[in-house]
Amino acid sequence: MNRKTTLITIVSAVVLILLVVGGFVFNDIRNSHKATINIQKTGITAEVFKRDPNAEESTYDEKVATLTEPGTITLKSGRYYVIPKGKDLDESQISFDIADKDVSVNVNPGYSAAYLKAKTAAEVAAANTLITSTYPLTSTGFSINSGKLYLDGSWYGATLIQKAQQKNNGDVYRLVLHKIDGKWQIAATPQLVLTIVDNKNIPDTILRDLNRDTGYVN
Amino acid sequence: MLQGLTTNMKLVLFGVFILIVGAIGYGAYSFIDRNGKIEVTVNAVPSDAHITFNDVSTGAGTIYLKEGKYIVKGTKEGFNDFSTSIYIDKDHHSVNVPLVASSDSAKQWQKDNLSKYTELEGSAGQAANDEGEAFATKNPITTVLPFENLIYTIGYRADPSDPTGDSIILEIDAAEGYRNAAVEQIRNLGYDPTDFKINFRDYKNPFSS
Repeated sequence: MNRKTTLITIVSAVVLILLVVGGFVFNDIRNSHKATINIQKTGITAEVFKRDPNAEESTYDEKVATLTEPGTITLKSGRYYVIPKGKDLDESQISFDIADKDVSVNVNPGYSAAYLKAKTAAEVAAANTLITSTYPLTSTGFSINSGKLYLDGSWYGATLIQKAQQKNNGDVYRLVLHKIDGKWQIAATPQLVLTIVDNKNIPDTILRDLNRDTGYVN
Repeated sequence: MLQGLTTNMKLVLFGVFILIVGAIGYGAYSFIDRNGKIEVTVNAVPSDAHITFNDVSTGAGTIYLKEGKYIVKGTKEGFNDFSTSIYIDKDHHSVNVPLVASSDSAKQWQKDNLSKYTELEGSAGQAANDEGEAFATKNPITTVLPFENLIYTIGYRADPSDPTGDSIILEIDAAEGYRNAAVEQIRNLGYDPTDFKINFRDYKNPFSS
């Protein structure tokens, strides 16, 4: 093997190695995307987990980041979730996927169910006053069930039960109030079903929960 | 580098170079032109019929269109004009244009080419099946409806506000006091009523103004 052949062989090998390494690097970059974690309140810690696709229980999921303020992290393709931590907060998972583009994840948890339940009693009277003044029919033809506070405590949902008549159980209506500038306002008029398409300004978790409430069990 | 080559070889190389550049250019143009568009198959009998989509001449075969509503017209001398409207999207991307003969010579042609019409019908049937499957995939609840019992019925109809025809409105027919039972039945069927447009027949919300 003369010197020229040796040189060509070495250069070819180096080029090949560079191509292979470059391919791996390119593939890694291609499968990685940025996730912007928007922590929208102070006092919240966002723990980011990668969901283990082979495990049914989340205990096997890997924690990949912990953020105490808004930030951007780079993640490989996969399924992830954020658990918000903080005093009296709802620590429900906020799921997101990394696939073929950068994502933005809003971390704006509401209060825990226990905290909201404790705060509900103080709001029932004001909510009922608004409901009866807006819909006088509720005073005569309906009974108003004690409602529930949702998310950050500024949402209130209640059910109205039509008073039973002969051979008639009475339909159940659901409505939503929203507290804006410290004052309750009607967000959704009483309806048999609060659908997403008719109530686009109301978080769907509230609608789904209220629709599950039959009104007869409190 | 090219000094050792003959003039003929240089010409051949130049030709190959032009071909490659042309192919790359055509590929780039096609990619840009088709980007964001849907591949639409247009089947026509006779195949040389003049076909337009929203008055733009296309012809039969494979064309690329943006999602949207189109008026498809087919014309050919001796045949009745054909016109239909279609919403093109990823689930509706096949158009059949069967022209019916009107003149004697065209009628003879039609008679001689009945197999082409039969083939087109088969293709239309297949397209309808595909669209039916796509509809059921988008609206799986339709596979368990209508639901009927002694006190209520739950059915569905196409949502007229969706031009694709793929959205539905649930129709509930229930007496006062039993409407919630019907809503609960939707849940029992495995679906969240929150996700649907729902219409209650013969019903007026007492709280609506």
